[in-house]
Amino acid sequence: MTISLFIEQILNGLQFGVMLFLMSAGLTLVFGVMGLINLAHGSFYMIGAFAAALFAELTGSFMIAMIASFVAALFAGALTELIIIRKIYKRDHLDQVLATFALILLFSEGIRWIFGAYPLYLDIPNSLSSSFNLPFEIIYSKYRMMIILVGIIIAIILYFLISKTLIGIRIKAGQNDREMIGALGVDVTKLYTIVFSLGAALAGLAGALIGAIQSVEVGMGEPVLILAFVVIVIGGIGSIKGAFVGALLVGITDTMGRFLLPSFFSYFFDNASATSIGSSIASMSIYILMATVLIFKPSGLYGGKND
Amino acid sequence: MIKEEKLNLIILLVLFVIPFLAYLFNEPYLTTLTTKIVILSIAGIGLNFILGYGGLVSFGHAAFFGIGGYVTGILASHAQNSEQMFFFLQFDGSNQILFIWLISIIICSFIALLIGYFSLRTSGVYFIMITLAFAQMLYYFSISWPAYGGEDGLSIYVRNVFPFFNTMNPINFYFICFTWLLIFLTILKIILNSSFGLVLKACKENEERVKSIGINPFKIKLISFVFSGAITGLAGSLYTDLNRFVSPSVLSWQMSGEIMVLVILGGVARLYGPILGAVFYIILEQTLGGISENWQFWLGLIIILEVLYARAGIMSLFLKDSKS
Amino acid sequence: MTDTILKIDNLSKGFHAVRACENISLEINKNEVHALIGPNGAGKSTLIKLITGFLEQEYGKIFLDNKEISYLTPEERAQKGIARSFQVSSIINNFSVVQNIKLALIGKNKNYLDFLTNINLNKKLLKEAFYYLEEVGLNKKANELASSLSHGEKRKLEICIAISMAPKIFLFDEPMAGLDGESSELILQLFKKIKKRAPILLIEHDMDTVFSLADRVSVLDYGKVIATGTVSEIKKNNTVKKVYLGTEH
Repeated sequence: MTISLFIEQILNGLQFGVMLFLMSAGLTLVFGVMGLINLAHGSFYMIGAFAAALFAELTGSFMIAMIASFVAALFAGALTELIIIRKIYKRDHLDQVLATFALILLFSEGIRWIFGAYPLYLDIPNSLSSSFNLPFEIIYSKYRMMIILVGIIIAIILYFLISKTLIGIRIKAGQNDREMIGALGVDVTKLYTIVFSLGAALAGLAGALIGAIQSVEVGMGEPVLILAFVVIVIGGIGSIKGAFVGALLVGITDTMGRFLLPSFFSYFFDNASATSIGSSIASMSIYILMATVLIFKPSGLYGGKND
Repeated sequence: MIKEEKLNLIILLVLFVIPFLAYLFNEPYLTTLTTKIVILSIAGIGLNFILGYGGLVSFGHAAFFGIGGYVTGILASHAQNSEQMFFFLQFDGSNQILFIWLISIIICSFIALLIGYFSLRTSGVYFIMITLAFAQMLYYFSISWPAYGGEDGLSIYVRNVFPFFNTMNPINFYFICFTWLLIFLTILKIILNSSFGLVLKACKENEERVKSIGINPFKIKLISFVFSGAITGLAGSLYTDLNRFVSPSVLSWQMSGEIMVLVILGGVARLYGPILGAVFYIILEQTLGGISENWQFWLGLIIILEVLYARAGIMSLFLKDSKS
Repeated sequence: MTDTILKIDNLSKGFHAVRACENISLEINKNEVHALIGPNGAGKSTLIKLITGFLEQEYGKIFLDNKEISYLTPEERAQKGIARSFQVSSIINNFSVVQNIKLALIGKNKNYLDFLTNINLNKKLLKEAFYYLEEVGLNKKANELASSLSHGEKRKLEICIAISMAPKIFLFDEPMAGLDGESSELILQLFKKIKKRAPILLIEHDMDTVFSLADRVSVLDYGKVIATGTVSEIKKNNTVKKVYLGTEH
């Protein structure tokens, strides 16, 4: 194992983590502010990816595809919030789980209806398709580097949005006390729609960014959704900072687990069994991480309330 | 509009009669379908025990369904191949269904004890997520562990053996499953009317009160969780025998969601609710699936309408006194 | 000294900078109603939570019947004989009135691991439950849903649950808040009767009730006990008049 390979894997973990953060940010805010468990968040990820694939095909511009993913998911989010989601904020978790589970079926089958059952492909733009050299003889994909940068920029923007602007203060007020926010004279309904749609839009963007590395297909959102839940539970539900730390932890644990565990087990077993045991445990590693965090901190790393 | 006891009886009668009708009209597929309904009902009844009566929303019951399924598949496959299971044990697995049930129940109870012990420290949405995480852990393990088929699953070709009774005959196998359904309905009815049942229902509404009368809610919930896991696990064992095949999909989060959906569709905290839920679910799957390839779209729509407008479940549509 | 049922020794608890309870020492003796009074935020409810184990003290000790219980969980303390009522009625709304009492009796008898006996057919349990329901006058409402009770009836049910636990000590947190005169009077008489079974630590706002019921009174202010004594001693106490009664009269 060389140091350059190791650093490359760390970067991959970082890229994975940053992408998870884009997914988790909306999820954690929606739960923190509105108290809603949204299983359908993965659908916005999928919608973003499909919108990007469609617009890349139509216009040939990667930039327009990315904007389309953001806008499409934004609209899908707003529409869902206006028609269905706002009716279930005050319901118990069970109703929310059921309704948003049903939304997944609606979105997945709807997309399958429109685009068919075959995966679409979204190409990395030529300018980013090559690699570049870093110190220690590391060669790293420009596109993945771009994802890391975009993710970090959005994290910084979100951080300022929440801690320095009026809308952020309102969101925070809403997290601490849902009654209070109404008393402040804030238009709660509008705030909820904005937060929900923005979260959806970020998920859509994440879907488009990843869609260029993997394929764009129905059902692509759910595995990522479950990872995003792991992230926000580790970070503490409602906390953007928690989502960021959780996302990086999960991203790096998963990538490094897959990278290191097989070679770790090869000290004890023959190569074939080491690979199978190592990859089995690696695939469980983030869930083990989550269970461990919850056992010691039942409301996550940065979570205050346990509800 | 009838009383709940009467409705329950009708449900059981219908389930009892269907395989005979299927035999009469030479529709063996109908028997298989009804067997699936009965097995899913058992899984749902297991979940409903903690979800409906204890207020514990477990989003990871596929863990138990799947482990029951895999225990059955693994034991049977070893018996069929005469391969030793452990290098330190002279054990060739088994195809005796009674033994397999026993092992499935023991292992599922043990796993439920572990998962419950850690999950029940949390509550609310954290509980939902940690149960999901444990199930996902097992799901990914089943995919990446190559010994028993990994992603492709594991076939056992013939059903396991019940003394003096040919399980390959669909009607015979159906009545084995139906008997299990009756057994669990009876056991749960007794438990729900007992002291333990009363305390469990109290935990759902007010844990502070339970503590202040000197009972530890954690203990009550953990015991219930183990019961629940064992019941759902046995359903999983039957499911493997029904299909003569087990794959990671029985451990997937969609499976957890499916079990939960049929519990809620039928009516939470009604003993027979999951049965109606399963009947409804399978009918939907069959009829909508016949009409449209995208039947799940319509299923989604129906569920959303149910959540928004008919919250008490299907059971309550038939009943005179709607329970609060 | 052998008559002391509950002894609180130097108990303290703070929330951030606020000292909710500071070095509180109290003794509740056999056969007495010991009232705890003080302005809002004086630390009365915190003290109840500390005694029942829903909060943990920073330092200090609690003894029940000369045995230390300071580090037991709420359910362990309840089993040792502390029965409480909550400030806001904490009954099981989905249960009938008699089921609420049966639940408490199951806790008292520690047979919650009985999975087999049908409690609806258990005549002995029913009889015992009715014995306590009659004491508070709720026997006619036994089969009604607890959520359908009036405010006053809910308070009575709350007290009835505590009584049916047959504890070593009762802690009642504002049991008469919001009750009409007749109900208050009934509960007043009930307390006089049950204090012989076990002493009562009573938090109460209404001074008339306190003065007619309490054998001793402790006054709490800013988390400290500023006076303890009989009703007449407390009425004469100048410090008390200044911080508390002065605002009333």
